[in-house]
Amino acid sequence: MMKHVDITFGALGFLFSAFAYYYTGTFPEDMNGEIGIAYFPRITIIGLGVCCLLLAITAFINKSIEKSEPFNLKNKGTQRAIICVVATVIYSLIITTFGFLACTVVFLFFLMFMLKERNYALMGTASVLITGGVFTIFNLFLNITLPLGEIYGF
Amino acid sequence: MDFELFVVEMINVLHWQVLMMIFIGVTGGILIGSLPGLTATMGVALLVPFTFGLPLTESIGMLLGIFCGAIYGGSISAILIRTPGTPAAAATLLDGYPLAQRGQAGRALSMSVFASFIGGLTGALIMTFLSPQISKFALQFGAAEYFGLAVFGLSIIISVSSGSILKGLIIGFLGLLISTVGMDPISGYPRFTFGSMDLFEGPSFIPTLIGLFALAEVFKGVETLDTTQKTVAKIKNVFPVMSDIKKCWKVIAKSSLLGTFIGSIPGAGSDIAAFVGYSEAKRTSKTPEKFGTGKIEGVAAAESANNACTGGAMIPLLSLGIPGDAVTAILLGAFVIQGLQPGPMMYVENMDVIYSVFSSMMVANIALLIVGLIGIRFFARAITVRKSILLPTIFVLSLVGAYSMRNSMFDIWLALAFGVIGYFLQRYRFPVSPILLAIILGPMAESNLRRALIVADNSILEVMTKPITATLLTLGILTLVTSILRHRKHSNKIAAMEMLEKGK
Repeated sequence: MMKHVDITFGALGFLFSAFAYYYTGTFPEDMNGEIGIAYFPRITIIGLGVCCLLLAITAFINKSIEKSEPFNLKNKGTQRAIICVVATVIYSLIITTFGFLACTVVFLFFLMFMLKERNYALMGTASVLITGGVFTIFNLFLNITLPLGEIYGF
Repeated sequence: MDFELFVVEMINVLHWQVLMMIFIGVTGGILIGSLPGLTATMGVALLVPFTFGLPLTESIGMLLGIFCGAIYGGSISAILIRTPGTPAAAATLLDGYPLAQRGQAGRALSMSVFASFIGGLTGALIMTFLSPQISKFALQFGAAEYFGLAVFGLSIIISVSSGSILKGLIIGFLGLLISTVGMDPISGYPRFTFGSMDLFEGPSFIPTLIGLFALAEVFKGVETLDTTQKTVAKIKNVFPVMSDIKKCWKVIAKSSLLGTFIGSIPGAGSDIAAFVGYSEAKRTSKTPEKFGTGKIEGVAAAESANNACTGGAMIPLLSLGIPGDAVTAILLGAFVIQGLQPGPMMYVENMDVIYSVFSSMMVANIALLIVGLIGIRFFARAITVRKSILLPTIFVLSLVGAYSMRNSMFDIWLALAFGVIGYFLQRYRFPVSPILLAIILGPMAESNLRRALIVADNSILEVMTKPITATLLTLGILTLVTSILRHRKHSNKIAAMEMLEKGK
């Protein structure tokens, strides 16, 4: 399995490097010296491209001794991880509208549920206390304004 | 050196009101430093207003206490939850977290506080006695020398990469490429920003760090649902055990000296010092392959180097009036508000204040040891909290930490994106640490190489053959070659063992 991953990663990395190198062509020449704006990015891109190519080739020729679980969408664990990412995206999208306090309590409760916690009293108490604690530390003590929610007029 | 005046100032600092301010500063610094996303810079900036109304000695004591406390505080979350509270603690997690995973969080924390204390005290002592001399040598560091220092730091990319060398290099190059995103350091031209104003300054370091380590760890935790309780070996003694001190004293001594010197170079902060200290400890170790798997020397090297940097950073500030990094820039502002003007004349006109700073720094490090050791039992308990509660807490704290750097939602998105990248990298056995190293050192390498070349009329030979640069580059190449050789030897050993297993 790892062999396929390495070949895919190597090939994709090489294509990415080719695109990035092409993109550096849009950078203007630097008037401050012969070594211009694109010089350092190009060195790193060439290094990246060569290493990706070598990874794909060595994985193709040799049998990789490393093993890893395939990324299978039917796998419950993978599904949980994806749901967690999606939940974070939704949380980040709605936090300015509904405010840190309301969103975080719900988000924490949901994450605990995803982690198979089923003690609802503990989940509820912990969600409220953690949210309140973080809000107090950042908003009140450290003066870092967390979103209070546009729908409440803040 | 006027010893009489120094003793008078030390006695002043030992006054209970000053001591109280130092302890408050250290405690506040540790708390702020341990929160992911809140750096030492932010800690000092946030607490500076509290010092305005205080007398000078108390004010200096509190500020230096915050500075030292915050640098150490970052290691607590790095060791316990794999999230460096400050960039300075990024190197600490390489061995600190594996130790915590093995149930030795207390051991890692006590070594961390002990090494921080020795490092900080060494920095303060060197600052007291050698400030003018060191600042003269540090001023010899031009663009070429900075480039050499960055390359030396980058040379440990392979040695921090467990597993495949190629994968380590790929991630290192990817990190270097990421470090080029944003405005070009010489011309200001925006590179790889695709029109986004948020990327003009490049991807912020803290959200990147939080994403790659904290969020990726949570995603992994959610996937594997490993809800088994982390065990913490019962902490009988908060002091590091004698055998650990014996193992680490050489590393601590070397890293403390290195850290102080790196701190004294303007622009090279404690994050760089920690990686260079770690790199040097690994390079000279008899068992370098064990670094990154939970070796106590790794924690000691990184922590002594980054805290020694606090003393070193005060050297150019006090003797030349040059703030070496963001924290010392804020301290400079605080000194000015108190009616002082750091610089060469301060050594003539305000020698009492200089000694007051030296004394406060030493006492702040002693306070750090006391508060740190008392806190170990409480800190270590954090990972005994149920994982179903702990992981969501880390997650929210990380997102808020990412947001708090610039009050920007973009940084949350950035952290999330790096979280997903970090998750996949871990899943497919790509080492994550090289990306961190590259993002810290890449901008330093690029900007200084280009500046050096402009000065040297594009002669790369002239840049590379400067004595300090040549020494640093040679050390870097040596580190790289020995890492590759050791890596090969290790891989061959594993392959031979596997063949033997198959034969059986």
